[in-house]
Amino acid sequence: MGKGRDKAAPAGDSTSHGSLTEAEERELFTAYRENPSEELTDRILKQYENLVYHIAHKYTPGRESFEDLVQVGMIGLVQAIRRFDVERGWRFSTYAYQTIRGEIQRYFRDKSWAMSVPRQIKEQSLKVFAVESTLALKLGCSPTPAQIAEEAGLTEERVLEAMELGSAYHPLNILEEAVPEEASVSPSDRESGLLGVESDLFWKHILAFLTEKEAEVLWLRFWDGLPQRDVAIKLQTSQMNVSRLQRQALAKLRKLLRPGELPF
Amino acid sequence: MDKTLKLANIELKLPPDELMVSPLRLLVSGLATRLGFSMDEIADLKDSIGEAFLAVADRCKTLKGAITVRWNETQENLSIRITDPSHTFTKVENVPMAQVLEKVADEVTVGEGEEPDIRIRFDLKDRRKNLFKD
Repeated sequence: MGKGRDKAAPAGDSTSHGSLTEAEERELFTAYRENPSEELTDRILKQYENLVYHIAHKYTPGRESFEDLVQVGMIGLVQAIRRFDVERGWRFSTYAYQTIRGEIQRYFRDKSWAMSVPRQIKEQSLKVFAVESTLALKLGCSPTPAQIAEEAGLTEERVLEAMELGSAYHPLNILEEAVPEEASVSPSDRESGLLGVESDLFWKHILAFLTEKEAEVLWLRFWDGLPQRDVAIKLQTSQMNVSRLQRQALAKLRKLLRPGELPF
Repeated sequence: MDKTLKLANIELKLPPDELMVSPLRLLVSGLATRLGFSMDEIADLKDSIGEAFLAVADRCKTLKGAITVRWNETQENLSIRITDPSHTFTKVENVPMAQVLEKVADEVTVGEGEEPDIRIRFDLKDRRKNLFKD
């Protein structure tokens, strides 16, 4: 899941805008406009994926967030493919460069917001999630906000606030990295249930645009029907991290799955 | 002390702005708390309403007007209805997101017609047992 994109751009790699001539590019995108098939989409993604690696590499001081930036950049590339109008006379690489870079810059703006959250809110969030886990084990079921408030010495309003803000206010690099029990997410290997064979294939392609952790969280949460706490236990991470990954993944899905505009 | 829970019918108008989703989620979590929802159930409620709101907001973000969120309680059900009054939001073609919503709510319907909307329903019968526990 996403492993085909799980690689670093070679250091110093120049932007490989594909080896297509202008005429070839025009022919390709005209064909895409007439029939945006999965095969054509994959071919265009493959042709221009180095552009994503090139841009992500420029924004990555270290290696730990490179994969995330590539995932964000791939979303930008998909959007560019959808929106590109070959009749305007632009080269696709020029158009895509702006879209990909814009997507990455927006990602950093969201992250910087997360960094400026007051410490008190962060600490209360951690406390609420910890008390919730403890109470759930003790009670054998999900506690109510009132029970958590009593245990944590907070008001119910604070508990709800901490629950909401905690998932939004944690930057990527601080939290523990999850190690999924299973090596990879493979929706087609799972029972299709309500979704059916065609839906499994669809989701396999869609989830490939997410990081492995994001895809795993979504599948466990929405197809296996596990509450966030159980997903956290399964992935050996914190519930707050699961909440954050879920939010990130859903945000990506919303962009990818706009009505009538599938990436393939 | 009168422990009878007064049913709430609330109408909220919000600009079609994704920044509104967090306050909306916070509000519904407060409303759900008084109905005896557990933290897991509140998470499901917030996720489904949040995603439904964002789906509508995404479609009408360049238009004037407000998204209406209606919260309606009965003895049996909680239903939330999210309406785009600009009438540009029609049947959700984005089927996978509807499938996501269906995983966490008891029922999700997407309506067409004069006031196209997304309706989300949660069954309250079992949850109400928690309301007056000591």
